[in-house]
Amino acid sequence: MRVLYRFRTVVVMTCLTLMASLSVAAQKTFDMQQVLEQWNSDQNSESPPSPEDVFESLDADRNGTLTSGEIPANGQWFLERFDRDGGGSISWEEIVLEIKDAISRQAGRDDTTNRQTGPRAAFERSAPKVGAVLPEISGYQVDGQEFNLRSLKGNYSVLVFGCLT
Amino acid sequence: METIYLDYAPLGVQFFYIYKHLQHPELDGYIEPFTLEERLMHIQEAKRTLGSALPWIADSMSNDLKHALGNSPNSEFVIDPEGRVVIRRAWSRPEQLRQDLEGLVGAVDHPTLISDLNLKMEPPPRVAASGVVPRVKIPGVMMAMKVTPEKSDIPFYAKLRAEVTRDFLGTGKGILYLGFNVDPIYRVHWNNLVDPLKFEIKTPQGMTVSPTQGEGPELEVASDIDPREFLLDVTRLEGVTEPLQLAVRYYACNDDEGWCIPVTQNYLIHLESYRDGGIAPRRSWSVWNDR
Repeated sequence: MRVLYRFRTVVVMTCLTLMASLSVAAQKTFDMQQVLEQWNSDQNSESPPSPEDVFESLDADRNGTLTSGEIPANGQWFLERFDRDGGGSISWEEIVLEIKDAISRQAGRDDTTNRQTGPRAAFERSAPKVGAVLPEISGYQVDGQEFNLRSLKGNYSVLVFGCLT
Repeated sequence: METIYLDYAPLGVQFFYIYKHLQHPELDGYIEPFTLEERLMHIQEAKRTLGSALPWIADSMSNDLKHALGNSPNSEFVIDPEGRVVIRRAWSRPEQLRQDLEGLVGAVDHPTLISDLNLKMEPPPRVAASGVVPRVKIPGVMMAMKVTPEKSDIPFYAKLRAEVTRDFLGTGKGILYLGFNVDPIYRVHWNNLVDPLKFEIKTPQGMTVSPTQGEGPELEVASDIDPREFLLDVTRLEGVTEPLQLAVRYYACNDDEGWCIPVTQNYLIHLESYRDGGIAPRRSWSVWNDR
């Protein structure tokens, strides 16, 4: 178990180190050898950075999350991999929980191995399917007037959910 | 999304951003609105700070639209002229959306580029000093609790956010976090020249909170906008479901409008997970498994 945990820690450290190196040379493509060399170099230094240190070094605006703008283009897959809540950013807690789940799955202890969880899976299950009519539910226009989803007829319409933060 | 809107709205495609609860409350100082009017003010703030030209729709305060359409914070749908879903995705992909519309409506001759946009983005408001009150050290991953503001004749210029350590729901013991944040949409700040914020909690039978009272720090700066945060020990016997009652008193000031007033307001804190609480940076964790 401990080996698994250490392995996962190395994976995360590697990912973060990769992104850190890509921040300096954003045009480089994925190079595992380079990452491992960087990792070994860091470990052999007098004070190798912890994963938290690397996370914080990437967190340019110091808000506790890594957003798309703080992750170089070649590392966007990292955002998708660890963005458990689908919020468009990753927190340290998300990384830790993802690692714990991965460890549980590998150790065969997780009774949810075959269960799709998380907001993306919930979306697949519960969002109206292609071909379905939208439910009769209302929101509000900026003048406070009611706006019902069923009013979306006659043209193609695009709906996108969002908020200030 | 703005470039797609500019290209396809003239071709008859309707676009709507749906504004739901904050996914990352406290980021840039913004906090969750308590009323629909405040959510509509958030939309104006979003248009101001993001430079968005798209039409916005406010979700209900119980986030009915979000829940009915798959509960994902940045999902995207294309609806056909008969009102049926033709495209759905859990996470908005503007590049893919443009391709979708090219297939459904047709390609435009000269697609608008982001560099063509003259987005007038504005910074979030900052009406007083920040960074003068040290943040509390969080003991673990926290979960947002549902907070119900009680009727008040004046707006909640400062708003309460309550969280609890994740193990509380299972063990009945935990740490309760209380954070009072001035709401930037009202352009208010704390008044440090008078008594600091004070709160008092009443607990139902079978529940304890310690301490039951607290007050903010006394500061040398005359005003600031930092959160007033508190950590309390909380215990609950099994089966107790009644909420905590909290009363808070503070002074709110708006320099633009030239007023500074004492405010007393009350809340109920329901010690149950709140699925629309979002994730406060470096503190809370959403409970999406409950969704």
